[in-house]
Parts: sequence; structure tokens; C-alpha cells
Amino acid sequence: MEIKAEQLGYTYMAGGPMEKVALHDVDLEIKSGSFVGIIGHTGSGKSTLIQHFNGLMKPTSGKLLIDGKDITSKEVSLRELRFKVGMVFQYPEHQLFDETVYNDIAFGPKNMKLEEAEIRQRVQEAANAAQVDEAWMNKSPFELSGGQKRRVAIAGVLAMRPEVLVLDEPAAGLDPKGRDEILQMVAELHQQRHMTVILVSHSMEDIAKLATQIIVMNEGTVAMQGTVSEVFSHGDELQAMGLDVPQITLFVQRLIQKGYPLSRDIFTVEQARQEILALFQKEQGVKPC
Amino acid sequence: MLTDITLGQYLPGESVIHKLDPRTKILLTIAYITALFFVNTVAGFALCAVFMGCVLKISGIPLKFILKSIKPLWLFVIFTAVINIFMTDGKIIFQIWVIKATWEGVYLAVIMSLRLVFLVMGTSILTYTTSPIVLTDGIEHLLAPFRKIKVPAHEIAMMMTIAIRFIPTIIEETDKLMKAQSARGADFESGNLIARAKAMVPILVPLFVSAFRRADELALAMECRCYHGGDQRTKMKQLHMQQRDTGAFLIVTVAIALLIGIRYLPGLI
Amino acid sequence: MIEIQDVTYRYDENQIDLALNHVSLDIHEGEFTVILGHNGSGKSTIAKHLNAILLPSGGKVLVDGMDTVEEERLYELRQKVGMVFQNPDNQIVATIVEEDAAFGPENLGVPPQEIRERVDFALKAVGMYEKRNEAPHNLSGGQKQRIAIAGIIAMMPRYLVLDEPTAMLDPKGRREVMKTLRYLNKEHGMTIVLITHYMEEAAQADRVIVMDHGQVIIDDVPSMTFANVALLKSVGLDVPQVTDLMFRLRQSGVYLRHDLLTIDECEQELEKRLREIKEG
Repeated sequence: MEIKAEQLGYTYMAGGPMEKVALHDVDLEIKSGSFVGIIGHTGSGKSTLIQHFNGLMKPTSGKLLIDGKDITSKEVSLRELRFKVGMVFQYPEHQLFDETVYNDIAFGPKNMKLEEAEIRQRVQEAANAAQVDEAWMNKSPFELSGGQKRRVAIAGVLAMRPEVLVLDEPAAGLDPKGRDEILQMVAELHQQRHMTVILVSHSMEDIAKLATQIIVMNEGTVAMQGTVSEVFSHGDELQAMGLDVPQITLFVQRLIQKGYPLSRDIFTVEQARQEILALFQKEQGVKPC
Repeated sequence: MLTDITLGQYLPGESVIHKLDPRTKILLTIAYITALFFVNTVAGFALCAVFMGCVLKISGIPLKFILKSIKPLWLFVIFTAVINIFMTDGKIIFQIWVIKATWEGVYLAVIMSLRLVFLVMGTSILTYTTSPIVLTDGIEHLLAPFRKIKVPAHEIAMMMTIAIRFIPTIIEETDKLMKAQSARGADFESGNLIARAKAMVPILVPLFVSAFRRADELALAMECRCYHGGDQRTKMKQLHMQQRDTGAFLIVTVAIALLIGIRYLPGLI
Repeated sequence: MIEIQDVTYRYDENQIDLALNHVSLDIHEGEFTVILGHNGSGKSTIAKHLNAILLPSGGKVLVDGMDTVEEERLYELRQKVGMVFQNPDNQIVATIVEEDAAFGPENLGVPPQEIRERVDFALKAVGMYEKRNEAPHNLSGGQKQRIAIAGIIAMMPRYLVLDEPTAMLDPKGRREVMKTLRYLNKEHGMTIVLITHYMEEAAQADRVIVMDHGQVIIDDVPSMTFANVALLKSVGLDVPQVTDLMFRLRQSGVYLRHDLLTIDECEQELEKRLREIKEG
């Protein structure tokens, strides 16, 4: 599924005394099967933007096209769209409500008016994908720990079998281990199920590790858009917007400035290790162990 | 969007009425409301209108805000009017089967409606010119003497403050939950009343859960800040009655005397 | 000084695992201590012992010699050891910033004029004096958390304990809070105990305590703490990316120092090594 925004704008309470422009002149394209990272500081418009992707918000100017169709046109059913574009909000565990974990995960499929057998199958599948333990299924979601609840909430979105998965800060508030587990899960959904993933995050390190494309939001519009290396090569501009580049990228860029022959496309510690090791090997002329 | 609701009705301003001690304003509003029940003549309501007009002028609150606060009353006004018109005995205007409208009923209906309108006007001016926190403070002070008869003055004020503090937070949370459940296909708009009520469960359950969690955390945070009720507690901001408060008492007392007096005036002459 | 003497704690009588397993620590005045650990490591449990939210199942906690179990002196203890929590929304009581800062001193029965002075001082110390008449719900997460800190500062505590105050904030909010804490520590000599799982924050402290399974596994200065990359990773914690890089290079056979924390330090070390190799 392809998402395209053309001159999209959104103004809260347009015409009123409290009018506030949240988005303006947003042009972007998200290709089917891609993994897009959206970065931007709080208030840059990224939360408002992602809510357009599943029709929770409608542009007040410009257009949002899903597979070429305007979401405000009659051809598009907003309900259908919500099932195709799964949205995992920040702290999704706060939305759990049902008596059992199973029922909570089944909430989406039930709203889709699916057959009981189909619902069962989907809940099972989503639970597996989100690493929801079988033993939790008949428990109350409120008995689980924070990290476990979050997985149940994500399973609740996956159970609709969305083609696109939007996640707003899925690792917020988790410790490093919990964060790695959730991000690993997202990576697998992308690789194994070929889902289009849109990940909103403050962590440049996480985005660098996972995404292939980056959209940078600043002051309600797209400030930069491109591959990870294209965007992170504009370190100064990002810093001017109050954003960082991954520490490792900054470090490698400094070494490049000093004249060391290193690749500019280094965004993870492992990449850096390999490059720098190669540098040592060249200088030494021998293979290290 | 839900989160855009402004808190309470307070309109910040610099007028004398804004600056009055909250206790003065609360007491005078109560006195005014009481006096309203004595008003039953055209002259009385005319005087009332003049009085309200002056207060409004001094406070600098635009008339349209007052009208806005009166607007939700119309249903209530019609209801009381119908009851009055048809339930009061007297000279019959028309009669359908056993239901009869009377002149006395119309008279009562008009009076009741006008009272209601003026009552809401008065209280609106109070809430428009007094911030919720100052209002709460005023209530706490006014209730303080009743602590001797076990009226929990401080506790009532504390509860009000916390309620006011958390209203925006909870509205914001409701908004988020509605969006999150809509994203899973929840439908809040279609179906009959029962279906709609049922559709609210996925909103209300998490909202309650979170409210309890918040209450727990807040209680702990308050205890850590040595909160132990109203005993031996001091206040940073002290309330002081000033000359303008004395003035306000005088003026309003005269106005109220007139309002009540006008009812008996024809008889006196 | 806060003395934690051989403290054990169990949340549940029937539980075999101890939330705190014979922990002994001293927190000295003027120190900026960070307690690191993954969720469930016992780091928050320690914090809650410092102002008697929790009382030890075994052992003792002494604050300036005062045992935390002394119920009659609870308010005195809580005035001395101020506590800031994770969710800024759930610890702000009043609807106006300065009213909230006044809440603590009001509870302590401080005279009105002095409350005013303390509130002004506290709000200035956290850089929120200009926002004193605003409603907290209109402020950002970082600003709200600074107000929560001001509310504690106004009680004039000797120790400021913060239980994951940055966990719910964005990077900007986190930086604001850290800046405020460093300022309070450096300029006002405030003793700070910060519970966190962010290693960037730990790197700015004087002392880092790493907890795992209810025990202290590291208690050292930041650079020496982060030298234990393998140990930190094994208990579910991160290290700065450059520190991690140095660690991985060492593992691959490159001889490098292991106590480096910042980009500058690592850059210098790497250049030095490369030069040495070149020159034979």
C-alpha cells in the first residue's frame, strides 16, 4: 500500500481565535514494503501527520492519497482504511480494557465483523508475532507487567492484519532490554511479514538501526526526506532543528574530517567496528585475529 | 478537539470586580440570589436588569459571553414554563380536554424564567471574574468557621483543586483513548442508545484504571510533600479584605434592599 | 549522610526473591549519585527506602543518623529527603505553577512571607520563574518535571531523590531536567540521587551505582563503570555508542584503553593508536 501526501495541511480550529497550524505543505511518499523512520522534536507535527495515515484526521488543505485515492473521497471507506493501516499509539498499554488478553486482542477483528474461527486464527497469529505468551490469554490484561501489556496492545493492532503498521514511540519508558525486544519484534514484522512500517522515534540510534528511509519533520512540515545516509549526512542542519545524529555517526564523521578513509554510511556500532578494524589492518599490513 | 475546551469560564481581567476578594463575591452572589426570589414585579426585574447591566459594564465582560452561558437554559425555561402555565389554577385562556392554560400560570412562568435567567447571569459573572483556584480558596475560608461542627472545609477545597487540576489531563486522555480505539475499528457514532453506551466501555474502563493509578501516585507524591490535611497548614497567599470590598458590600446591600423593597413599595405608598 | 546498612526488602512475604538483597551504601553530602539498573533490578526500591515510603524488612536506613522507621519523625524525614517521581502529571497538585511550588512549605506550616521567598527561589533555581502564573497542563513534560523539582526544593531538603524523572520525557525534556539537576548540585551543593536507565545521564554523575537482582554490582566513577561493557550488557543496560565501539574493537584484538566515555576521548585514543602502528 502506498501513502502519498500532496501539499497536505492541517489547522486546528481553523478560523477561530485559537487557530493553530499543525501541518502545512507536507509532500511525502511512503512506498509499499518500506521501513520509514519519522523524526522531529515534540510539536514538530509528526503526531498529527501519522494520524492522517489511517484517516483519524483529515487534511484541512491538500490531499492524502492511499494507493492513489484521496481519503476524503467517497471511494475510500475510512473504516476499511483503519484496518489496513494499523496504528500503535504511544503507551499503547493504556488502551487495554477487556476482561481477558484474548478478548482485548480480538477487539479489532470483532469490529471487522469476522467469523469466529477467523478471529481465533488472527488472535493466535498476532499473539505469536508480538510474542504474547499463550499462558496470558485467559488472564486479565491488568495483571501483566508493563512490557507484557505493551505487547498485548501491539498484538491487538496486528490482529487486524494491517498492511501498514504505524508505531509512535513504541519503546517509550522501557529500559534498554525492553526497548531492544520491542524493536526486534518490529524489525521481524518488516522482514518476515513484509509489512510497511512507519516508526516515529526520538532515538536516532534506533531509527538508524532499523529504517531505510527517514522523514524529518520540523515546524509542521517535511524538512528532509531520503535514505538514512542522505539524512544523517546533514548533521548540522539536524542539530539546528534540535535533533541529533547517532553518536557513532558523529564520531565517524569526525574521523573522516581528520582524513581517515572511512565510509560516510556508518550508522551502527557494528558497521563502525568493521570499518575501523579494516583501517587498522591496512596500517598494520597484517590480519588481526 | 476535546482538549481545546478552556478550563472553567474564567476570563482574566483587571476590573474592580476581578480584584474583589473571592469571599466578598461569593457572599454577595448568594445574597443576590436570595433577593431574586423576592422579585416579582416588572419594576423589580427592570431594576435587576439595570443592576446586572452595571456590574457587567464594570467587569468588562462582553455581553455575548453572558448570553452564551444563558443559552443552555432554554430547555429548562420551556419545561418550567409549561408546568407553570398548565398547572396553575386561575383565569382560563384556553382548555383542551382536562388541560387548561391560565393567565396566572403565564404570569408565574414569566417570573420563574426571568429569575432563572438573572440567577445564571449573576453566577456567571462570579465565575467569569474569579479563577477557579481563587474561588476554591474563598470557599475554604468561608467554610473555615464551620470546621468546629466538623465541616471538612480544607478537604472540600483540596478536592475541588485536584478536580480542577485533573480535568484537562483527563479530557486529553479521553481524546487519546477514543482515537486509539477508533484505530481498532471502534464505532462511537452509529447504532441505538444501548449500542452506543456499549461502545463507550473500551473508553471508560481504561479511563477508570488510569484515574485510579493517578490517584494512587498523586496521594503518594502528596504524602512525600508532607501533606497531612488542613491542620497547622499555612497558605502562601493570604486573603485580605480591602476598601473596595467594603464598597462592594455597601453598594450591593443598597441594590438588594431596593430589589426587595420594590415588592412592598406599592403597598407602602 | 544517608547510610543504608545491610538492607533487605521483600514486597511479598511469600516471595523467595528479595527485591533488595543485603544492600549497604552511603550517600554523602554534595554528591551526585546515579543508580542504574533495568526494570526490576531494585533501583526504585532503594529510592523508596530513602524517605520511608518503604521500610526495610531487614537492616537499617539512617538519614543524618535518624532511623527511617521512627514514625514520629516522618515529616522531618520527608522534609530532609525530597522525592520526585516519574510521571510529572501525577505529582503536581495545584492549578497554578507557583501555588504548586508552595504546596510543600504550606504543609510544613512555614509562615506566608517565607513561603513566598522559598517559592521564588525554587522556581528561579529550576528556571521556571517566568512561568509562575501559568497552568501546569499547558507546559511541556520537561517543564512540568522542573516544577515538580521546584516543589521539592521549596521544602529546603538536604537530599533530592528522583525516581526515573526522565523516563517519560523527550530528549529535550531530558536535557532540561539534567541541566537543572547539575545546576542544583554544582551551584547549590544539593545532594542528588538520580534513578535512571539512561546511560547518558549516568555519565554526568560523580558516582554510578549499578543494581541487578537487588544487589549492588558496581559502585564507581562513571568512566570506570562504563569500562565494564560486558557486565553492563549482561544486566540489560547500554553503554554510550563510542564506548561500545572501543569495547568491540578491543575484542577484535585492537589494543585500546577501556575507560573512555566521550567522543573526544575516544577520538584521541584511536588516533594515538593509529599513529603508533604507523610508526611501528
